[in-house]
Amino acid sequence: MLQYLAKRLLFMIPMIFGITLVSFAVIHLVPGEPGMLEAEMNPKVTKEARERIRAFYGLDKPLHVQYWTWLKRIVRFDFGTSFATDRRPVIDKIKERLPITILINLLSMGLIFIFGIPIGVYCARYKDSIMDKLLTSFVFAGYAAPTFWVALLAMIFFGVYLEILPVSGIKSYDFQDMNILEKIADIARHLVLPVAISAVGSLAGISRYMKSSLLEVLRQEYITTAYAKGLPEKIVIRKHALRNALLPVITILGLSVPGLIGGSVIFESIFSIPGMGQLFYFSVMARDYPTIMGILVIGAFLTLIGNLIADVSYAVADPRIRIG
Amino acid sequence: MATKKRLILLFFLCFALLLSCGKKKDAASYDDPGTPAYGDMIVTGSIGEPSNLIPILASDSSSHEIASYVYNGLVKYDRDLNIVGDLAESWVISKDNLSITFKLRKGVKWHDGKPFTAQDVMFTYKVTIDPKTPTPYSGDFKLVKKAEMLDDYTFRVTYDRPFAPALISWSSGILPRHLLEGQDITASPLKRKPVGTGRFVFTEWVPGDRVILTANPEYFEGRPYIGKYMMKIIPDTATMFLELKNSSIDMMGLTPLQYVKQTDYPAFKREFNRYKYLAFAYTYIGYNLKHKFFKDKRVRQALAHAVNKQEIIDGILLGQGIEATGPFKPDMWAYNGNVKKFAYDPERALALLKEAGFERGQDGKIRKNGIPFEFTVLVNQGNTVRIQSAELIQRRFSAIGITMKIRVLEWATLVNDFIDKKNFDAVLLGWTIPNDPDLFDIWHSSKQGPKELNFTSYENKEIDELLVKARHTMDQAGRKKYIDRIQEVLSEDQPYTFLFVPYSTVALSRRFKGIDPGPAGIMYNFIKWYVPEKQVRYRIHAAVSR
Repeated sequence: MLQYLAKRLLFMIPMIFGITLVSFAVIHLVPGEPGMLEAEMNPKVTKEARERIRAFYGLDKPLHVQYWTWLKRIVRFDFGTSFATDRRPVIDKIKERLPITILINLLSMGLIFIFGIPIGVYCARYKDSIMDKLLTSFVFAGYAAPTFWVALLAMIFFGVYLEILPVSGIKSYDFQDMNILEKIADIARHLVLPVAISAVGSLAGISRYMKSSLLEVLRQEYITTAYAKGLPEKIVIRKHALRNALLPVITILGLSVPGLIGGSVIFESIFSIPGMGQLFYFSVMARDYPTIMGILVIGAFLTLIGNLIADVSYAVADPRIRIG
Repeated sequence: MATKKRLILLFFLCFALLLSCGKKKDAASYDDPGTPAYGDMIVTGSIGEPSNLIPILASDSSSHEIASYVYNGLVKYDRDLNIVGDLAESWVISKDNLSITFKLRKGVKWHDGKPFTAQDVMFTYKVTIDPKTPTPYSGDFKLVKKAEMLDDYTFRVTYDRPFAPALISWSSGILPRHLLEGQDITASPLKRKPVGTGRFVFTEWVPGDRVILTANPEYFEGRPYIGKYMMKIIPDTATMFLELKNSSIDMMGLTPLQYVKQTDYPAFKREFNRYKYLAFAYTYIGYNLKHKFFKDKRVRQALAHAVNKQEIIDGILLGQGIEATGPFKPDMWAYNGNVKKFAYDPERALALLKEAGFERGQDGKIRKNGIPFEFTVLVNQGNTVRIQSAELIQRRFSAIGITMKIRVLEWATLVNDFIDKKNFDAVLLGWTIPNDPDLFDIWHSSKQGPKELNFTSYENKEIDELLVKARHTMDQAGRKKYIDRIQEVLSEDQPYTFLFVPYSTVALSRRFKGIDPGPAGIMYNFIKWYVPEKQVRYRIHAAVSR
């Protein structure tokens, strides 16, 4: 087991390296340069000033030199200073925004499992019933509809029309004057829409996986055996079938990390939540290379960790994998 | 199963609880103008987060917006775009027009209580031209030959040649010397916590979320009535519009569609006033003057006759704009209305093209020496008004046998790969009209290099001379003569087809009174805006923390 873990960890190093190389190249291929996008075509910005700013950011050096400088810093866990004109350390910028993104992602992942697994089980148990078809249509509609569109509709309905939920943001204006309970309620109210909407899109995946994997298990001979020895259906499904059927679903947990991080970029921008996704959006718009790279490295790291956890827990659960 | 049911019940209970504490709608009527009172807060939305609150280091509009409340220049524009004193009480321009002597206000204090003096002005000048400061705005200050402090409240700058935009170049924000001197300005804490002399004092910045300012009780022009200013960062414009409808933000610029259709219902009008004034911008088609067809002035004039400007204004701006005849808008002193106008006249256009050697073939297309008149116009992505204008123009051109293709490109690609390399036939873009009418950078023939702004390669000896003369004439009446002539020549030459000047349309909560739209917009008298006592929405103790 330890050997397996060590092997997986070692594999992560070239992987991270490859990801950074590709990201760095792609980002520098995008036209436009930091600090210059808004100054483009501005009569008050002289050519000399432009050159000076380029030199200041080290953008006048060849690309491989820039990558090497960046790499030398990153191995010492130094993410550098942002190219946005605030010149703050990238790590500070990410640190203040990471918690809310992780909170929303954990909440929506929880929501996905709380709703996705029962839906999957129900659909497998009552396969081809009307309820199964309704639920399936519902989750697929959620999957197919673009997140930003559903989000806007929900904002119009709950926020503008019914006026029962805030439209966007994470705290009310009078947040500071609230007591601790009111503060929690306030944040919770603001989180309802973003969490629900980011979960709706992923329900389809989990419930489908759950359904097909449970159907697979229900066809096995030992299930027939369990029925044959006279166990009630509830027990057969919960004790014998569900436990085995959950295995592949664990893997989905790990694999859904990149999707959630990517999704953050969209719904954090729509709901104006000051998280990492929104920071990424702003950084790309401003061509703030160090911040973009910082977020990508952390995102890649989280993804690889997610994969690792999935694989390891799978290995723990299934001896065939850790031996093989 | 019973536990599960209980769980679900609990979940819905929580949800119901969350919904129950919704906000209560303001029932106050905003019709009563009331009397000026101190208090309340104004909330505005911004799609971008400020990057740096030291104005010389920032290039984005939200940073400059916050800075405009926190800092003062020596001079500023008033309602009618006249230059008036800000931190400078008065100024004297020397007889030879080479130097300006500013008399500074006495008794002005920085937000931290230290007095403001000429030392601060000197420091701001020095740090702006310091090669170590990464600022894009050093251009105008570099023309200063000598800057000197005559005493603590007198500051004099001398130029090599008279320089017309000199005076207004001193409207840029003056920085506090006592907090910045001897430090690396790019590492200063002031970039996140600015200290100025302005109408509002910086209070708080929650990254990615909001910036809050508090009224400066000791402001030298009087304490602003509005107690607090909040800039809410909302990256998505659709979300921002919903927040406006929801009354969560008080002020927002509207698109023509939002102005004419989406906000035209009673409930919105009960909550908001809508203002409009001519924007400092115009939209144009710029031709690559090295192009084999566009070289000929008659072709450009023909194209100007072929475009129906009013149709664009009515159909796309929904009436929220006026026809542009040159690089200025009519409510500026520099504007010259007596220039050659190019009315929509396809017959005249065809006649001009014929004069230029084009023949109309059997298929309706026009050709010169067998080469059909075809070109591509580049437009930047995301700007719907420009893309739709291009489509209307495309139809008008094809009616007289010209094929115009439209290519939509991402902004940075458009600028770097096409405009900078002069790799285009025509572009449909817009310029911001500067308050000071110096056109040198856009039209002078020396400004054709990469990253310079005369990218259409316009060359006209007369214009070159006029531009230089206008630039070095301090007296406004004298300067206007040259600028008037420039507009006549540009109109005759038509290096651009000037399309339209749009209106800026703004929605502002009706509880704010004292707004008086003028050529400068509505924000110039912001400190005089007020909310009558009974209509205040946010009752926040507006104590200034020192």
